[in-house]
Amino acid sequence: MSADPSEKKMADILGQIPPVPALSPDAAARVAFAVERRTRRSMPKARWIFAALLLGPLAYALFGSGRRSDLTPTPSTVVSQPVSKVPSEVASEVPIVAPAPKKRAFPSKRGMPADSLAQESALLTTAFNHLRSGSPTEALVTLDAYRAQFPQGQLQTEAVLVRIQALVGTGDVPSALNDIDAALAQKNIKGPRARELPLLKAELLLRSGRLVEAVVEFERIGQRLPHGELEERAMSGRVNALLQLRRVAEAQEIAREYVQKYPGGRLGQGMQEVLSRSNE
Amino acid sequence: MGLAHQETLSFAELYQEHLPLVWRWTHRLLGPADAGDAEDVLQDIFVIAHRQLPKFRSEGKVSTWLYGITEKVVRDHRRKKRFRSFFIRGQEEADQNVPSVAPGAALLLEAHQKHQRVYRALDALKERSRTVLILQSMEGLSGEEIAELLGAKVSTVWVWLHRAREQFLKHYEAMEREEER
Repeated sequence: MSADPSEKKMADILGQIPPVPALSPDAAARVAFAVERRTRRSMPKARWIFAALLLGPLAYALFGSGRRSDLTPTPSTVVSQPVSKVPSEVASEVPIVAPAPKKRAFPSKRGMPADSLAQESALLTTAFNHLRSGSPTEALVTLDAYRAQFPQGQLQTEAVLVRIQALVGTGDVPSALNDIDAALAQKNIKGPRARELPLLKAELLLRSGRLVEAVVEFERIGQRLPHGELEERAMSGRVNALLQLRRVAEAQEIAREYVQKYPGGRLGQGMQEVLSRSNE
Repeated sequence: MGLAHQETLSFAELYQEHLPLVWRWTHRLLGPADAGDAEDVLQDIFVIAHRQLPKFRSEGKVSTWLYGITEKVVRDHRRKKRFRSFFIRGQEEADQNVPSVAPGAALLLEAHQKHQRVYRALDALKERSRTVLILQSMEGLSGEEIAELLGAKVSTVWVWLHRAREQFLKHYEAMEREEER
C-alpha cells in the first residue's frame, strides 16, 4: 500500500483532523443512566448504579488527556441528567432514574413497512425542495400530507422542524412559536433533534424583538444543552438579546464563559469583541 | 474477545469495557457536524446492544458485533439528519437578520475549516467508502482489522480503500479550488 501515491496526500490531509475528545466522566455517567432508564425492566438497578459510578473515573483514566472543556461539570440543575455527583452513600435513596417508560425503546419502528422511512423521507424531501425553491406555502401543504399519512412517523421531529421553517418562511412567526409549544407538549417528539426546539423558540423570540422573553428562554434551556453547536448558539443568542437590552455586564459574563468553554470556538472573535466593550 | 468470553459477559461489563471504543467510533463516524448528538447516539447503540446481547451467538468478536450496531445506528442518524441540513442553512439566513454578536464569526479558524472540509468530502462518498476511510485514516486500523470489523475479505477492503481515496481526493481538491475562488 505504501506505493499508492494518494496515500501520502491522504495522510497529510487527514493528519490534521483533531483527536476525538474525551468522553467526560459526567457524560459517561449520563449515558449509563439513560441506557439504564431505557432498559431497566431487565437490568438490576444496583448493578447499573455501580457501573455508572465507576464509569466516570474509568473514562477519565482512559481519556485523561482530553480537552479541558470536556471535563466541565454539567450543571446539577438538569433533572433529567443526574450524574456521578450523587454521593454513593445516598445513591440508593436518590430518585436517580425517571419512571419506567411504558413503551418499548423503539415503538414507532415496529410493525411499520420496511420502506416506511423511505416514504417519509420522500415526502419531507418534497417539502424541503418547496422550501428551497421559495414556496413555503406549498411546503406546508406537503407537510399536512405527511402528517395525515404518518401520524406516528419516524421523522416527526424533523417534520416539525420543517414546518416551523416553512411558517417562518411565510412570515408567520407567531404560528411557528405556537407549533414549537405544541411540539414540546407532545411525548412522541423526542430524540436528539427535539432538544433543538426550545432553542429555536428562543431564537424566534429574539428575532421577533421579544427580548426579555428570549433572555428568559435562553437562560432556561442553556444549561441543558450538551457541549457543542447548540450550546454555542444558545450562548450567542443570549449575549445578543442582553446586548440589545443594554445589559452589557451580563452579556460579558456569558461571553467570558463562552471563551473559557470554547477556546478557539467559531464565535470566539465576536465574544472577545463583546468583552472589550465598555460597560456604559 | 471471543464468544467463550462473551457467554459469561454481563451487559454492565460489556458496557464498561467497550464504552471508550464505541464512543470513538461514534464520534468519528458522525463527524463534526453531528458531534453534539454523539451522546444520544451512544445511548441508542447500547440500548440496542442490550436488547440483542442475549441473542448474540456468533463466533465473531464482541467488538465486531458492537461495531455493526454502531455503524447502523450512526447511518440511520445521519440519514435522518439529511433532512435537517436545509433548516440549519435557513436558520443561518434568519440569523443574518438579527444584529450579530460575532461579526467576525465567518472567519473560522483554519483547522476548523479543514476539519469541516474533510467531512464534507467524506460525506460526498458512498457510505461504505466513507466508513473504510475513516477507520483506516483516522482510527489507524489495518486492512485486516477493517475486514474483521466489516465482515469482508482483506483484498476487498483494499480495493474499497483504493477507490475511496481516489474519490475523496477528487471531492476534497474540488472543494479546495472552490474555496480559493
